Amino acid sequence: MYAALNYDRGTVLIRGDIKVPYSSWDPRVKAFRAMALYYKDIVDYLNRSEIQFDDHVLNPPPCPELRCSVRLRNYQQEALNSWCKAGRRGVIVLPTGAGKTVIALKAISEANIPAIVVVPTLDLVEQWRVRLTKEFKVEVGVYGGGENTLKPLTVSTYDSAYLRIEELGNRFPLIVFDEVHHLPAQGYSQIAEMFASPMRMGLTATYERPDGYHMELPRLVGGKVYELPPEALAGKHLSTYTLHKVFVELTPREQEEYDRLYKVFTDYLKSNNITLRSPTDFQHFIMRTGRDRNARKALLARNRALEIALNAQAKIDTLKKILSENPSERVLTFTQHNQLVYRISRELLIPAITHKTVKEERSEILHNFKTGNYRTIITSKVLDEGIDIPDATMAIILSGTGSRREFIQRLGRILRKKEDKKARLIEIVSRETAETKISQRRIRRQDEKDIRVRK
Amino acid sequence: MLPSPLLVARVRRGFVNPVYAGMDEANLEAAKTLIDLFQKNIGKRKGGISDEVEQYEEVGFDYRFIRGLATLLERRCIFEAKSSLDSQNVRKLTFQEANKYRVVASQEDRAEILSRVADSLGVSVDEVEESLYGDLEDQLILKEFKPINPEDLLRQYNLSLTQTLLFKSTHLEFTVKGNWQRIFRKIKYLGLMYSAEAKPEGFWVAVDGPLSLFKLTERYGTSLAKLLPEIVEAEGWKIKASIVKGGDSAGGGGRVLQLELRSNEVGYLLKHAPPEPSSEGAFDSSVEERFSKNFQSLGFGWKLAREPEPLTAGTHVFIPDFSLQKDSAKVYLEIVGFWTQEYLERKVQKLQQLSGVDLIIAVDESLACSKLRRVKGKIIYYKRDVPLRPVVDFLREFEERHLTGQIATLKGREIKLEGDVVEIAGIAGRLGVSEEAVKRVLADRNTLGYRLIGDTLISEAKLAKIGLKLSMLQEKTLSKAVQLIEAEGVRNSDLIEALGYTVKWHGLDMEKAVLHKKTDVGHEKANG
Repeated sequence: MYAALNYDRGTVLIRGDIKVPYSSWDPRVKAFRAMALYYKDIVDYLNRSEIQFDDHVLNPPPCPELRCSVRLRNYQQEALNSWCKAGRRGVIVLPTGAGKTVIALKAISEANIPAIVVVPTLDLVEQWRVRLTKEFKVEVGVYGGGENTLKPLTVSTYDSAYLRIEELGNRFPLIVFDEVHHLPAQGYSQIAEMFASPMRMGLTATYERPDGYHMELPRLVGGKVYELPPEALAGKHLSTYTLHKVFVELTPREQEEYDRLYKVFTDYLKSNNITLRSPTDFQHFIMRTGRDRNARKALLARNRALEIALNAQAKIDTLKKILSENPSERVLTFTQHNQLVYRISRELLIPAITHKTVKEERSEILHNFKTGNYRTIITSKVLDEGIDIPDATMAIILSGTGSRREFIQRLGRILRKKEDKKARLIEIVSRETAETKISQRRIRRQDEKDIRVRK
Repeated sequence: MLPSPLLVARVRRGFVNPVYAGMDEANLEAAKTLIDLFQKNIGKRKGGISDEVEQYEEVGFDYRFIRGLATLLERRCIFEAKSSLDSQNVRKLTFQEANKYRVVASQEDRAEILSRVADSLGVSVDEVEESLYGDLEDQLILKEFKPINPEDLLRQYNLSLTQTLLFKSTHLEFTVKGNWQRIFRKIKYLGLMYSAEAKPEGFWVAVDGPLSLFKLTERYGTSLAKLLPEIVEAEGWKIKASIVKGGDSAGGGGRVLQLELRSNEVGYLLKHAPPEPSSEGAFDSSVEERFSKNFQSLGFGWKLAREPEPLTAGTHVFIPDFSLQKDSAKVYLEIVGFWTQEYLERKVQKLQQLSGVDLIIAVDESLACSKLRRVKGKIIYYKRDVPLRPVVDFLREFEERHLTGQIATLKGREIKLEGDVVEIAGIAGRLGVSEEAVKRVLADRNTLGYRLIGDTLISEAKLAKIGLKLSMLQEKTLSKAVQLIEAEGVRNSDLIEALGYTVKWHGLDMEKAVLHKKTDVGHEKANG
């Protein structure tokens, strides 16, 4: 019995006179084929069965010595040990700011082999690139934001990795998924399925997904091998925070316009006997707008009403007041809508970052924020995850979507430990609008799930 | 291709169909209106154009249709920033200046900051204000617009709509008549995989990707969409695809719907402009082009066709450069021009899997390689041009071999002759062999009571009857004679001569051409 294993565009081709686990016969090429995910299992099987085989699957780039001298805290070392014990596969769950990056750095250093780090945003690409370059003193490859360079240490966005699985899937024995809760989404999960990397590490602060698909993670990366709740670190390694909520009123004109528009929406729902209780209900309603002109009018009216509430002048005035009263705070301001970001940036002359901001300018703004040249940044969603801004002492939310994960990560932004600072989170919400509900939902969930100590 | 929210499609009983924009007046009018809108807004802001387009979304058309057209038109535009100042730099200077304040609380503060930045740049405050976010998409100015006619815009829209649907496809299969080379090249370029099979209804191809073996995945949808234009460019196409609709963010749930399209039903809605006249000129190399010309000018009875239907070779398809056909005899010709060792080896490997196919390979002599000798079929070496002589010789020899083969298959088979007039072509058709094979076999057989005249067997009785009638003809003009023969149900230009007459022409007029009995010839001469 004999087998030859080759990599073919995200899969492993097995030629020979045996069938191996996880493989199917592919009549198109007259050979057995398996998802690259199962490469390690197939090799293990062949070894256990003492079957001779030629393995041409992995084709890592030529690699210099990869050593770095980062020091791990106790819990970080424990996390790394658990991951190694689990066969160098699995997910490590640590609160935002607890130093997940260094664990991955140490893992790469110990394995001393080519590795790819997959991250959700371009900011994180940049952050990892800088960190890897500094620690390993090598040139780091980048996929994403228009760059495509392959190096023994490479950082990629989930999007670019997904698009280039075919060519990248057999180049790295080790793959690190930062913010791994993104992985079980449609499409992205194929990164795990089509990369052959036998060693896999997932990092996140929020293992669970609202849709339940974190159940896929054990198959894709390996199970949860280590978890530390945020409370275990609060005060010690992370800063604690306080939460304020500021209600603002719409101006009479805004209120009038808001009511008028919102009524168009509710009238439509009423006259068509539609109730919107769940996201699915809402999806059905959106689909209706494709064939029902009035449904579309109702939707547009609702959107304009929400826009008014989100863009309320009083919010901007309140923001001005807070900034003025807290001159020594370093403030990150969040809002969901680009339109509002640019309006505030124009009016208050505050640097803005949105998904449209080019990489170069984004780095410039973040750099100047860190060095104190800018005291404030206004941003939409791009800074949601993992980006390292340890100098922020205050966060202001001007609008939000009510998603729990988003909220935690926004909190995480100011949760970084810096001497004895106590971070402040302020949320500005229009009173008596649909938006209040979104905010209540968010805070309630947060109260229930995140502040309570989990063991 | 359009953003998926702009997809307009109907679902019925497990089938999905794009809602195409027909070539009716209302649609053409809408297309024209939008084209004009872009045309007249050259020099205006993008945001303003979008607002104007939005107004048309509310006036009776599906907003997705209007927005779809606008999306396609935007791709024909060049937008650029109005101010020549570098917005990014203006922002940097402005924000740094503003950072000296706790907060920019008043209009006065703001004006002061902007004027300081303006001074440092040596420009006006207005210009600073203008360029501060002048690089935002909404603020860009329409610089250039490449016009298009309304019909083409609608066709482009329909094609894009279909492609948008294919984004969500897991699998595509099609039959098509032609454009093979480009279709298969594109399949390869897109990293897709195929299965192909010659079926009675046409050459059938199924396309998906490596991962498709394990799961229904939309991974290859974008690539399948990119393949579509090559398919609809060909004639006589049929497409079937599986489209995933719905499902959650992790790909669970959802339904698989079928998409079926045919060129004879919707082709005219999708295909851009009629095929370019250059289709004949699109040769891979000048060697091929010259050979094609030379061979055709030979007038040799063999029909030459470029890029014939693919041949399946193992798990691959192979598209030869030419097919040469005469009756049921078919030979393929492949011209190997530039090559590398690996290329040739791969080619040989591919060709070796072609069983039951006759293939001539023409190889540049200076590049001749011993490996090619192992290939079944005839190899011709050439310099610069593929010589016709060996090709013709091969075809003649092939024809002879083909004939011998056919004669052998006719051995022992009865050939029934019924009626007074029997066409050889009819017999050949019935037996599935060439006419030449039938003639040769009949020549060796007893065809008592019949004579072979030209391509027809005619009974002796019939011949006698026609002969008698001819001899009784008063005016023996050719036209009268032909009339008489055709009235007997025979069309055969060799018959008159076979009955012992010659035709003497006086000018080109059939009325004046006169038949003479062959025995008369000497007599006439004697007289003359």
